Amino acid sequence: MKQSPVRVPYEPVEVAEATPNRRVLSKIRTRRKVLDAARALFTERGYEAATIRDIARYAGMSTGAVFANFQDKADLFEAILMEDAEHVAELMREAAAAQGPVSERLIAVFGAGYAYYLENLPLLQATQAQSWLRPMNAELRARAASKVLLGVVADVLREGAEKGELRQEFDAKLVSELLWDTYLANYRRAVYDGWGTDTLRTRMAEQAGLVLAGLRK
Amino acid sequence: MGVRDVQKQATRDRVVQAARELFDEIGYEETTIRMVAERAAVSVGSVFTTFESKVDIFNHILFEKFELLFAELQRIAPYLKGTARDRITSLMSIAYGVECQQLDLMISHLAASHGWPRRIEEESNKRHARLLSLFREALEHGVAAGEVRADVDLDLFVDMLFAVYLRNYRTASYSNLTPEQLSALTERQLSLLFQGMAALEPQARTAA
Repeated sequence: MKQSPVRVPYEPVEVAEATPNRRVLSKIRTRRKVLDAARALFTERGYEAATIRDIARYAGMSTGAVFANFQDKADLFEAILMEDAEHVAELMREAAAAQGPVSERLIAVFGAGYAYYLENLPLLQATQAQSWLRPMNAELRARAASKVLLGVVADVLREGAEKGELRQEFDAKLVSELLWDTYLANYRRAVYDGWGTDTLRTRMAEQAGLVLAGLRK
Repeated sequence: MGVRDVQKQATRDRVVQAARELFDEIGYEETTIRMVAERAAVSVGSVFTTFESKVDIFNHILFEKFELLFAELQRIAPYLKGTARDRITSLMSIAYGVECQQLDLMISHLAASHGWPRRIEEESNKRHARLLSLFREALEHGVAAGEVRADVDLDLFVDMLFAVYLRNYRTASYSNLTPEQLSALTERQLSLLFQGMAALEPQARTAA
């Protein structure tokens, strides 16, 4: 990713609050327009079928303008994927904030994910496909994002242990990964069997219920 | 078989052989139908008369591989010892030992599985049913031996086992796990699942 050089002052200096100039603002707007166009086309056609040329045309700009903001299609796709991950993390954190037993809170968390991605299934499929193939550096960046998501699940589990609902000693990372794998695998039912959010939630409740049963005192 | 059928079969064999080589050499994603046609010395058109798409050729090759693996597992299954958990861990470990020899192919296959058409999904489910029924038989053996509860939803459980089984290939690939490390991870995952199953409350288990 391109970064503008930053001069680091040796001494703390007073800096007037910066008002972004027109050039910066227009660059941000262009980037936003490219992202929106790409999101629309990836959703409509899938990752493979959407070309940079189509994306540029859809955004009403030249391919050059797209490349000024993103290295290539993979870079552009990653930016969208990361935006989604942040958004979903937000939704899941909100869902986790509700009071109640661990099982209910977990289902609210996973349900928030299902509700969001069921509106964006083709994009989710592309994301899942890419998750097996991306190069190691992209995988490491994606791991940072999924650490946040898995952290929401792990925190609910840990709080359950603190409140005495679950036993004290268990591997919260292993359990949250197992639940997460299950959560992801269920999306196949949405894609190929037309399952909706409610059906997915019910299924996930059964699966999480099974795992949690083993963690009770 | 008429002359035309014989010819068609010969073309199909050549296409499969060429594709197999290319997938091994440069990987599934980089291989194009045109390259397969060139290597097989047939026209692009005749590739398409025998297969609908690249993923069809790829799956034809992989499903053959799975068939061999599952047949081997089926042969071994009666000799496995221990609890249902032990047996299923063994089945998965043997599968990992085999598939990890060509891990890249497995990874490409699983990546492709997220976008393929329903017709292929159905075919894939049919192929994997053999593996799932081996998991199920191990569980039923456990039920008969009195160490697995008779009142749990085995379909749900088998489904979760399968999700874990497939997902672990990703971990194997990105975390560079050996088949032994993968087996150790599987053991920990299965112990969580079996522990959960054993502890399920009576009223919860019949929920379908």
